[in-house]
Amino acid sequence: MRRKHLLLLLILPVLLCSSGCGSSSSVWANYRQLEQLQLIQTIGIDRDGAGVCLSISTGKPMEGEAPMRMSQAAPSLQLAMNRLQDYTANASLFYAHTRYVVIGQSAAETGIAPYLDFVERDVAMRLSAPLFIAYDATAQHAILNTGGEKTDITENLSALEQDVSRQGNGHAFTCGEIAQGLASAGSALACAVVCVPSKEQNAGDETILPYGYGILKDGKLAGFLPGELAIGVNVLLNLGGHGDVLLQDAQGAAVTVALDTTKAGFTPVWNDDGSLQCVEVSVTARAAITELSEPQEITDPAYLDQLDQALADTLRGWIEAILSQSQTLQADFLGIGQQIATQSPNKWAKIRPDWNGILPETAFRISVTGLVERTFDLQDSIGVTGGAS
Amino acid sequence: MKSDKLTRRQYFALSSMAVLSPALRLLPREDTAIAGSASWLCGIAAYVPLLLFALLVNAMLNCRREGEGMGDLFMRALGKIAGKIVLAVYALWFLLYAAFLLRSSAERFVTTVYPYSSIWPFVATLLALCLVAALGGAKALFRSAEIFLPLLTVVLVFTLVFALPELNVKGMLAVSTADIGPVLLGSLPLLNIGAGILVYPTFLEGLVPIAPGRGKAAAKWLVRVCLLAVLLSVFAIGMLGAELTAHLSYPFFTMLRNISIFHAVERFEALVVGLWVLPDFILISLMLMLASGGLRTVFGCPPKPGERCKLQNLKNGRALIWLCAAAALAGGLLLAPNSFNLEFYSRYLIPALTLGFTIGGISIIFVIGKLRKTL
Repeated sequence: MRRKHLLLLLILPVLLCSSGCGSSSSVWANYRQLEQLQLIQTIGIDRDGAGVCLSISTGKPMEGEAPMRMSQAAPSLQLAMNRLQDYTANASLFYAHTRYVVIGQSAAETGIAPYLDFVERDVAMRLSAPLFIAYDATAQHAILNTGGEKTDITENLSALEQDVSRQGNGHAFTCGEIAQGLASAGSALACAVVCVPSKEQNAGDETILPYGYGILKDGKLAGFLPGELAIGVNVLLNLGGHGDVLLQDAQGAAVTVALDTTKAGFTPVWNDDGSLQCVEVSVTARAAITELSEPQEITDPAYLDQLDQALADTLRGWIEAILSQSQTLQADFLGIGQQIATQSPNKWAKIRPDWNGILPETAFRISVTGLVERTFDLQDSIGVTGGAS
Repeated sequence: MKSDKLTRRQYFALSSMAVLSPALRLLPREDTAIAGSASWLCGIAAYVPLLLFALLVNAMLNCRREGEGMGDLFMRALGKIAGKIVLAVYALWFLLYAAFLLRSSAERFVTTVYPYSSIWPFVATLLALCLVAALGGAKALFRSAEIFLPLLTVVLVFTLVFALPELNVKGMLAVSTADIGPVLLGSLPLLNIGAGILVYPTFLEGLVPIAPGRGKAAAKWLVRVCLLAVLLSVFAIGMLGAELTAHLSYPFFTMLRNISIFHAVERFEALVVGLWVLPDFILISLMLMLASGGLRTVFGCPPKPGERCKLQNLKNGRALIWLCAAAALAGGLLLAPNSFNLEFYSRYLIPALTLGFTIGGISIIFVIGKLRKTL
C-alpha cells in the first residue's frame, strides 16, 4: 500500500505540470479560451521601411457586428501580431484559420520569400492559404477599404477565387504552390487583384477585381500578366475554366465564344548532340458560341471554319505574348522545364543547370487548333425579315 | 491460465506500430533531401537489401531453441562472457535510443502543435506511460500494438485519401538514369528504419512458438513498410514538392495542416500528432523492456515467463526497469539542449548506430556463431 502511495507521489508532479498549472513555459502557454478567440481570416503584408506592416481582417462577422480590420507596423510579422493583440483587449487573435494572404505590390517587388518562410514556420499559419498580390496598392489599403459594415475582403476574395476559376482568367495559387514553384523553378505565378470603387450598393467603398497574374522571379514580383493573357496562362497550364474570348468574323462582326475544354502541352525537340532544338507548344481549344453582334448562319461550315481560325489566331497571339514575357524575364513560370523533364529526363538532366540561360534563346513552335463546336440552344440566328431574303 | 506466448500476428503488429515512429521522423524528408523528386523510388530500392537482411535475421533465428530470443543467441554465438558483454552494450544502446525517442517525441509536439512549451512535461508524461508498460508483461505491450495498429492505419488511410485531390504527380515522373545513385543512397534512411525494427522485437522472439513461415511473414511485412515509404514520399512530394519537402522538419504533419475535408473540417493535425504518440509509446516501451531485460540477463536475473508483472514487484532484478526508466528520463532531458542538437542525433548519430547495431552487429555475431559452430 505504501508503494502505491509512493507511485502516486511520483506521478503527481507530472500530472500537475501537464494540466497547465505549471509555469508559463509549460503546455499552458498554448491554451486559449474558445469564446475569446477572434478568428483572423485574411492577413495583408506590406513593407514599412525596414520592417513590415501587417493588416488583418476577421471575415464575415456575427449578426449585427461589423468585421474587424486592423493594421500595425512593426519590425517583424510576429511583433506586428503581438502589437495587434495588445490593441485587442477582449479577444485573442487566432491565425490558425487564415484563409487568404494579400501582399502589396511594393512588398512583393522587394521579395516575398521571408513572408512564405513565416507562413510555413509559424505553427498557426498554413501553406494552403491562397496568396494574392495587390496591383498598384498596398495590402493595407485593400484590407481596410474593401467591403463595408457587413462584408470584408475575405468574402470578396472568396467570391473572386471562385469567379476566376470559373471564368478561366486566373487561379488562386496557394502559398505552398508558389513556394514550390520558386524552390524548384525559381519563378511562380500569383493571382493579382486590383482595388476599384465598388458599384454594388451597401458593399462599402471599394471592391476587389481580378488582375490576371503577378510573375514572381527569384522571389520578387517581376511583372504582371493582366486581362486576356491570364486566360492564355490558364489554357497553357491546363487550369480549365470557361474563359470568354471575343473574336471577329470575316465581316468584322464581334462573336463571343466561351472556352469549353482546352488541352495544352510542351514537347521538346532535340538536336543530335543533345542540345534543345525547340519546344513545340500544341494547344487545342474547344469553344462554344455564346453571343453574336450580327445575326449569322452559324451552321454554314465555311463560317465555322472562319471562327475556328479566328479563335486559333487569338489564342496564338496571347501565347506568343506570354512566352515572350517568360523569355524576357528568364522566368519559367509555366513550368516548361518540368514538362521537358517528364518527357526526356536524361536529356533534361544535362541542360537543367543552364535552363534559365537556355530559356530566352529557346525557339517555340506554336500550333493552335481552335474548334468552335456548339451554339447551345439556338442554331442559326433568329430571322427578323419575315422570310424575305 | 493466461499464456505468455505471442502470436506471429501480434509480433508483426508491434513491428508495424514501432516502424511508424522513426518513419515519420525521417521520411519523407531524408530520402527526398538525397533523391529529390525521385525519392518515391527509394522505398522500392530499399526492399531488396532489407529482404536480404531479413533473411539473415531469419537464418539466425532458425538456430534458436524454444523460448530463446536474440539475446540468448548472442550468448550461444559468442560464449557466455563475451555474449554478456555484447548484450550489455546492446542494452545501453536501447537505453540511449529510448532517451532519444523520448526527446524526439517531445520535440515533435513542440514543433507542430505546442509551440513555446517546455520539453520536459512531454518527456516525463510519455516516460511514465512507457514505464508502466515496461513493468507489465511483454504480452500486454504486443496486445496494445495489435489494438492500436488498426486505429493508426485508418488515420493514415483517411489522411492520404483526403490528400488525394491536392496530389500532383507530374513532377515525380521526371526520373532519369542520373537518379539511380541518389535513389540508392536515399534508400539508406528506410534501410535504417527497417533494419532496426526487424531486429528489436527479436529479443522477445522467445515468446513466439517456433513455427515455419517466419521468413515469409517478414517479407510481407517489409512490403508494407516499403509501400508506406513510397506513399509518404508520393504524397509529400505531390503536395509540397521535393525542394520544400526536403526543407521541412515534419513534411507529413505539414501536409496534414494543409488538408481540408470539403472545407468543413480543417486543422486536424493536432489530433494526428497526438495519436502519433502511440507508435512512440510502443517503441519506447519496447526499448525499456529490452534494455532492462538485457541488463537483468547480464546480472544473472533474466526476465522469466510468468513472473509477477505488478508495478510494485521489484524482485528478481525488476528494479532495473525503474533504473532504466530513470536513465532514459535523464537522457531524454539532457541529450539535446536544443532542436539543432537533436537534428544531429536524428540525422547522423542514431542512424549510424542503428545500422551498426543491426546490420553490422547481427551479421558479425551470426558469422562468429557459425564459425564457432554454436549456432
